[in-house]
Amino acid sequence: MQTRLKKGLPNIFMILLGAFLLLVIPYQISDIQISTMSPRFFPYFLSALIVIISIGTLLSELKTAKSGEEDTEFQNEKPSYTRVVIILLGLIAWLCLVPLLGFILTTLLLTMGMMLLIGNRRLLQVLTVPFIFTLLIYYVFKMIMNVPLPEGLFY
Amino acid sequence: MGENILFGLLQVFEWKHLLAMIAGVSFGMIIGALPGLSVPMGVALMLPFTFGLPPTIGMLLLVGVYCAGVYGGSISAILLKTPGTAASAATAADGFALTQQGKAGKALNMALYSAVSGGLISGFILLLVAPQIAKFALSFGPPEYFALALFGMTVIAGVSGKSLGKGLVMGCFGMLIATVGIDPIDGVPRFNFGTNFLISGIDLIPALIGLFAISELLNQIEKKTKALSVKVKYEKDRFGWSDYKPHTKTIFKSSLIGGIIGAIPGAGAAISSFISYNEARRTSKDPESFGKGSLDGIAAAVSGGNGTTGSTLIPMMTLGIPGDVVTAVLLGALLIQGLKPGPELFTNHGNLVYTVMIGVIVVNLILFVQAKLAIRWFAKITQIPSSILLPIVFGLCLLGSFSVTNSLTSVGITLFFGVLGYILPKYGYPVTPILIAMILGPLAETSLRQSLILSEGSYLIFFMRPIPVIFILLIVLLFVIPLLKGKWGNRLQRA
Repeated sequence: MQTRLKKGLPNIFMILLGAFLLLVIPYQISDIQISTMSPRFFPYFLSALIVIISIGTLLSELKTAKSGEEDTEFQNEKPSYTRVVIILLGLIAWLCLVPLLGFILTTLLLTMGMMLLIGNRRLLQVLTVPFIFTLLIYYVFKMIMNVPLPEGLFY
Repeated sequence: MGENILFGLLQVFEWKHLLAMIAGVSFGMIIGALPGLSVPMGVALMLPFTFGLPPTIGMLLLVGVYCAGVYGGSISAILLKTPGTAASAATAADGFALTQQGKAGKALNMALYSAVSGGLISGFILLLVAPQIAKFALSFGPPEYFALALFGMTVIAGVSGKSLGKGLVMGCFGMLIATVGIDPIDGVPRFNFGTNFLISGIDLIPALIGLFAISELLNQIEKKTKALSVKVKYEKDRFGWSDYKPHTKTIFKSSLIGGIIGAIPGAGAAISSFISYNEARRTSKDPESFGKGSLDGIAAAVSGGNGTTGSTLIPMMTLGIPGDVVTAVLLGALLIQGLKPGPELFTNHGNLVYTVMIGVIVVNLILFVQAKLAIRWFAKITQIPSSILLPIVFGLCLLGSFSVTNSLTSVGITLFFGVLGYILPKYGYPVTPILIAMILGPLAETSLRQSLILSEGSYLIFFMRPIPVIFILLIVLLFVIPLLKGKWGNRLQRA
């Protein structure tokens, strides 16, 4: 039962996503039609396909689960989802802080934080690598390649 | 054509072009050699550096990363039995067996000579075949382009993994993402949810960096990878013509296999590498030695993989169809420079095209010199701790996506796609179809609607011209043959 639920949930999510898109299209795309095909045609067609294919996949996967064919996956070490979430929060924080603190300071803090989180405890490395990386990138992008970098109150 | 080739030859040996290729080759070898960091990721990371550069220099830089990256994968495969790229997986068993026998130098040299031979043959195939296809493609109108886009989407079947259904759902999802923004025919905004930043649509590059680079980094974080490799002893070995000569037949045959497979959208280096390896084992006088340290096995797998590097550019440059993820990024690079890949590229920007095509050949010569000099240092790069490498690559990803539009919105889009690329495969949904559909979706929609304007709404237009009919028949065959094979296979098994 649990396997069937586990196999079915992603497909159910996709069916709901397709259905949501079908409902949203009239509010998101105007019905003005100048050419032979409406601008709504492709989105409608694709959303309907998502629903239909997902129903088909759901049925076939439930059938496989019923007949006892299961994929077995082995993992040596327990995955660390907490670290993934913290890294993602760090990346979002970078996105929010760059307009305030500027590229150099924010990237420096992000790189240092990540190094510590991934498990680097060598003080010299934690202090020097982010500095060298950030300044090198700043110099290469801004000074040599003339590629603009995000700017804030401090560089 | 002769004039263009001569122009390309003169251009490619200008110091700034040579410098770009040298830089690309260095970066590509490093990325390819690092397990977990793929060639598409390397090309995507280098992309922002090309924005401020002239198109020719930018493209040569990326071609350098691409060719060297495919070769670089075999370094870690040989030294650590950890393929840096999918294409080098076939090299791992024989290469590592030789490393354990103290013949790592011989294996690395064999891989290098085979990679360069494969790359050179593939480069010549590109130079000779691509212009002819481009001439033919110039006669294409909207119905032909629509059929071509549909044909290109059959690639999705090849990259869907275990479930074709889930691959198709991702394809639809990718095409829906491509519809965000202003409608190409009627000019109506679609799916902008009241925001301004979605009116211009979703850029390909931030999505790509998210789907392939950020997601891979998150996977590495999840696995708690400490370092990408362990220490390995490297013994220097002399390698010359006498070592290469016994394998020339295998290398030539595998390179040709690579050249043909590379030109088929969706096949790519990994498939070619395995097919070449199997073919070499099938025709070998000593098939038992394969997998236990066969130099012929390494020669076949590596030349088969690198044999695709030039020919994958054929559908990308001549028809605007990306055969795999790397060519999708290269296609994006051309679009960012304001160049439209396709037959017009050959007529309007012939100088660039021929310089790039000759560049593919020169890149392989540069790869040979650079790799020969640096071969023994590669093992050290793979030992950089993840706690240093991953934050640096994260930083480059953020910067890469920012540089596309010089806006933090692109970074937000990258993070969104990064999360998608991390979560979706866990539930069996492959992400490559999203990218392919994002590229081919707009072409399919625009050409379909233009065709219907031409035919005043009649779908018969696709069956009244020879090229669309051929493409449609090919699509039907591509879907029907595997189905029939499966049914016959089941019947035979039952019998």
